[in-house]
This record gives sequence, C-alpha cells and structure tokens, in this order.
Amino acid sequence: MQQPGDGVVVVGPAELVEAAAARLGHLRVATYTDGAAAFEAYAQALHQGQAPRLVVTELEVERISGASLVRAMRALERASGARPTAALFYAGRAADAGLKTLISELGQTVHLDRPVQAPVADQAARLQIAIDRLLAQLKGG
Amino acid sequence: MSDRRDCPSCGMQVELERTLESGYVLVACQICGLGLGVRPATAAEVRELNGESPDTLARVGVVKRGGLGAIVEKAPAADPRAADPRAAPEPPPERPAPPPRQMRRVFVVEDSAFLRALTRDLLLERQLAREVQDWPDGPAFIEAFARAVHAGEKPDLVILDVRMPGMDGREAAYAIRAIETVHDQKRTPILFFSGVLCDEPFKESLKELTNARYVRKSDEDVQRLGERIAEVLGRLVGAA
Repeated sequence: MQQPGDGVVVVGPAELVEAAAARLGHLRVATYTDGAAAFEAYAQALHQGQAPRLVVTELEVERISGASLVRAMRALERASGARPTAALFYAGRAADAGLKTLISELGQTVHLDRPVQAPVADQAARLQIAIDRLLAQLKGG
Repeated sequence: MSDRRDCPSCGMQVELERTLESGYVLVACQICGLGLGVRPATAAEVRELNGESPDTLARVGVVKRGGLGAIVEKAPAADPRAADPRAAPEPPPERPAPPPRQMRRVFVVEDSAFLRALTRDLLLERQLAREVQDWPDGPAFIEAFARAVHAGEKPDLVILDVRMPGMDGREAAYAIRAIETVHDQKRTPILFFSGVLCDEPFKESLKELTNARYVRKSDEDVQRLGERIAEVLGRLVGAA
C-alpha cells in the first residue's frame, strides 16, 4: 500500500485519481478509490506521526463515503490529540446547505465543484490548481 | 443437502449452517446466527460429517453445546439407533440455547436514545455484559474506540445500528477494522442491529468485516428480542 506520509491523499474514481496523480508529480501523492483503504492508510500515517498535509476526496466513494472519511479522520485526530489534517471535497455534488453545515463542523475543510461532465483531464487540471493553491495557503499559515 | 430459506431475523435468503446432533441437523442462519429449527439428518449428511465411515450412521457428533446452533464435534459415538439408517432417531430434547459467556465491556452505537437504553438494560439485566458504554453516532464511537485501543481496553463486542444520520454503522465498522489493523489488534466481534433487511451488498460487507452478524429489529416484544440477541451472541462471542 502506498503511504501518504507528509503528502497529499486523493480519493475518488480510478480515472480521476490517476489523472490527478500524473499532474501532481511535484508532490508526494497517494491515491485510493475506496474510503476504507484511504482511512486505514491515514490511520497508519497518523500512528507513525506522519499525517498527510491534505486529503482530497470525492463524496461518493466505496465502503466509507468522502464525508464519513473526514468525520472518521477528525475522530481519530481527537483521540490522539493530533492537529486536524486539511480536507478538500472535490465533489460532483454541489455544496447544499447540509453539506455547508457539515464542512463548518468538520473544520479545516473546503469544497470544490467537480465538473463531472468535463473530460477527466480537465477535472484533474482544475484539481491540481486547487491543491497547489491550498498547499500554498497552508504553508503561509 | 442444502437448506435455503428466508431468515426471519435478518430477512436474507441464506444457505443455512448445519450441525448434527444424534442424527438430527440443527440449522442456523449464516448471517445472523439465529437458530431456525431441527430436522432429521440424511445419510449423506452423516457421511459428510463423519468422513471416512460412509456405510454406517454409528458415528455421529458428540454434542459439546446443545440447543439450536449446537456445537458438535466429530467423535465415535456408538449410538445403536443411528446404526440403522431406516430407524428414525428420537428428536433431541427441547433445550434453551445456552447463555453466551459474560462479556467484560460492550460498546453500543445507536442514534435512538430509547433503543440505546433498551440495549443497555438488556445486556446488563441478562448479565451478558458487566459494563456497557454507548454513543449516539459513529464519529463519537470511533474516537472512543481509538482511545480504548490506545489504553488496551478494547471492548469484547460492538453493537452497531446500521442507519444513523451522518456516518452509518457499516462505515463505522470499516473504520474500526482499519484502526485494529494499524494497531495489530484482534478483530472485535460486531453485531449489526438494523431496522431494515440485510441486502446483498451488506452481505458482502459482513464477509469483509468478519466477525460480524446482523440482527433485524422488528416490532416483536422485548422479551423475544432479548432471547434472539442472546442466542446470536452465543454464536458470535462464544458460550459460557
């Protein structure tokens, strides 16, 4: 299994995460198509004191949904006294009122519309720009 | 001989587990473990159990634990009635399912305060558990579970409601399996407690999440529900 380390975790459909990883060669990227596998890798990384800087996830993923993945991450961070890892929902579903409430509850979490009708290469390009911008903001404090 | 039927507890059409008791087959649901009845064993079933002695029904199982969902071990048990396949053996005596062993600590996750209290009372009153801790949602439970693992105080059993707002029980179950894997811990038995029937995708999840069972909440009385849960627990965590 790929270890997220001090990098970026991307969770979503296989085509998208592969295209995104290809564009993010300048970063350490681990990709998953399954929320449970992503959570296990996150728990492993946290246990080793190497939480990733950013977790990007589609909401619709197998086993553990994107929203529940971030909820579970926050639970684990509270249990171990770790700082919350930033999260980005890159989702086909627009941010409705319920999702906005969830995002504010989770903290350190933002939402970006994924243009599901657009070619995957374009979706990956949009994601790459967002990730680079977010990481720059995180670095800036 | 294969038994397929709809389990009245979890609603799944299942291939039933079989065990033999003195020439009888005790059948139980694979999903929730509910005992579903007794029927005479066929000659083929006795051969299957006894392996090398195909021509005689003399060697049937020795019952280690009776009742529905009995544990039967292969052993030479000279039973004169069973030696003749045409002679119908007497039905096994009616016995209640054995009580499951008492658990030290059980975690319950249930969004309904009423059902949380009911489950807690049931576990404590029937002396199924010495200590019950409960949470109204998945994330609070995951946090507590992770703390318990760090403290070396993992529960003996987790009872998870399936449908809860936010994170559902199945997601919470995958999360604790991940925590157990990371910390090299044995898998905690999980009992899913659900108002809906178990469907095919959930059945697949039960396999991935093993050791896990599924019990449907129905509108039966509390007494009967308690008996059903006690029976399933006997299979999930072992008998007393």
